[in-house]
Amino acid sequence: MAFIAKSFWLSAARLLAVAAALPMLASAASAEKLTIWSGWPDLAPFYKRVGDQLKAKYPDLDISVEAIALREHEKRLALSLPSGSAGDVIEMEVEAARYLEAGLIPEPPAAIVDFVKANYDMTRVKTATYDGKIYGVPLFQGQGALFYNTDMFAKAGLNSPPKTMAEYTAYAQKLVQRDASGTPTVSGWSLRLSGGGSGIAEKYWTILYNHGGTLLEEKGGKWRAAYANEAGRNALKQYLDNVVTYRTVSPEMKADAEAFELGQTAMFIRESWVIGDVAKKAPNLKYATAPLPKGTLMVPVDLYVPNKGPKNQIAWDFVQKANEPENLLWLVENTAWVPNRKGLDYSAVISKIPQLGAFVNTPADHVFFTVPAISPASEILTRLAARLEKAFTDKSLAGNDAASTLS
Amino acid sequence: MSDPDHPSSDIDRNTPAGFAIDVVLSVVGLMMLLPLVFLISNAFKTPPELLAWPPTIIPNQPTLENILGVLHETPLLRWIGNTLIFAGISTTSIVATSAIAGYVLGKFDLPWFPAVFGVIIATLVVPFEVYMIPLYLNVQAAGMLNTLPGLLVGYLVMSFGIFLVRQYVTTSIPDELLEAARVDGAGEGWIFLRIVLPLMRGPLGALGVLAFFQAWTAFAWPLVVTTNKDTYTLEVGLALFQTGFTVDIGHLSAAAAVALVPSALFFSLMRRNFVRGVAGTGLKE
Repeated sequence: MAFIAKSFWLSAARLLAVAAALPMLASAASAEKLTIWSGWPDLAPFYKRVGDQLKAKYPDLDISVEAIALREHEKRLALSLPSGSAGDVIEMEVEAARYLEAGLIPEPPAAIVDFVKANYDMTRVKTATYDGKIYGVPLFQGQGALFYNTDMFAKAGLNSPPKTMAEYTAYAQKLVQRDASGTPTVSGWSLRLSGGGSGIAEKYWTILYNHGGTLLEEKGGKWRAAYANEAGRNALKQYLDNVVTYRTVSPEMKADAEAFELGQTAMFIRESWVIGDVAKKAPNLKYATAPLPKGTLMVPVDLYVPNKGPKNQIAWDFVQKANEPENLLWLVENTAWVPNRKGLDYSAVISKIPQLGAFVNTPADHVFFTVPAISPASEILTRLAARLEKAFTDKSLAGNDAASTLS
Repeated sequence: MSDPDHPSSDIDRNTPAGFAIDVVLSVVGLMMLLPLVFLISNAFKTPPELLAWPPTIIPNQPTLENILGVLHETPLLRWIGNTLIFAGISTTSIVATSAIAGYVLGKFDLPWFPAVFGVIIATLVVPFEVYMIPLYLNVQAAGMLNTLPGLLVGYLVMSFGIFLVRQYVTTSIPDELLEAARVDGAGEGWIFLRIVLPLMRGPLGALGVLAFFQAWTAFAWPLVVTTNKDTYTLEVGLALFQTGFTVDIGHLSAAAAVALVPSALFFSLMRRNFVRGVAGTGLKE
């Protein structure tokens, strides 16, 4: 009885008091509130900055930037787009295809289409295009380049980055550091060997491309696998050479940006976000970047306006404002993500952050290719990644060309 | 020496076996505490030190930047408040509905009650993710996205709670006790509040802990229902400290460490009630 009379009701009363005291779960409504949904919390200051600029045109505008981790952002989109409750401006990568196919994204005004056609290379607009029509505006992209530790290169007698894929393995053999028993302690080349998801397949695709192949090709309007050939074998062989034959890297070693920042790998291929990460976590690391021999997979992040209505014009104004050169240069300097727009002058940014050069000043013949804008793209990559993860460490495949064709 | 009040102390702690048990328990205890220690320690480390290997337990250059950054850059206290309110109302509702439904199903004999109980039991095996999408569409249609009622939908009734209380009531509260009260002229409401409810302190205390934890750690539903930063619960807010490829361990640890304070306080205050509730349950006939 005492339990009921005191603890229970006192607890309930306290809860009600807290509920009344806190400005709880309903924020004040605004006459014009524009909500930006992003999958990159590190981009929130950028969107905030763009929103502040837009207030010159819309003084009463309240900009709400709702950025959350990419996978959670994608979950939200999966529920909110079909039910019409998504933000006013949303980011999407290749998964946009499924929503475009379903007719869930309205076409932009003609002026936006003209803006995209005038300012973007069409390769970067593929994922925002469906049935020949442009639906979104590219903002930034993930693209690969080589990161290498200049101190380790100098110690190994290497004074320039590798220029061919054969040199990558040769460099890795010179750069790897081992303990007395021969076990590698610093990998020569940190390959993406594990981690799940489509990332393994994307990294393999980039290396495959630099061997002269590609993962998927379109024939007669259908997409099919295109790696069961010599280029596919050579790309897989490169992994097997490094992991099994020469042991310049192993799945047990720390990998990727963390290994690089810890001085536990001499080189690896990654997107430009690593530059910002290194600046924060390993500011004294001496490193440089270099473009890949032939080209790189590029995954654009595009902006869409999913809702029709009175705020539609404001939303498109926001998208255009975000893509103004001054804002894009701020974006690359402060987040290290590379904008998609053509004709930007990066000289001032590169003078401050030389490592961005490999990403924004690529050679004229450097090829950017992207994931096909089809709804099963992520599933294709994820399934292939599961097979690749096993193949990379399969000793029976090393030196066995016949068996190492992933067909 | 054996202590008759504490059967677990039958093994003399001065013997090798007792010493070995102490060592094993101490090691296991330390291992369980280690993640918590690192969580708190990481909250005070600089980004380079967070990356250092082997990791340091006591920061070499302790900094408050992570905690100040989290408090300045995110509405962390608001998220904690939101979560407390959400978990508090959810727990209160689940305890109340389970107590009433469990008691009614356990002690009243209507022909269709077994079927009702069967349906409730059947819902136990349906994962929340299965009906999350239709639930979301309903909440969206009702205009309850980013609201407390929308958040609470799905967290007001717990079928396991009804099952737990019903089983307890059936096996531990004798019908004779209720009949005696009725013979004395007590109404059903009085009997429930004054006789049954106090006897259910044990299962209701345990259920309260379960319900509170369920709401406190909920992620999928709050993630999709609350899309405005001011309406986030703590679990959703913590997801802000990771991006597609990296995790801001310093800020994440700082936020988690700050978030530990109210939950640790709650459990330190409630611990005795839980123990007393569980230890003092049952009706000796």
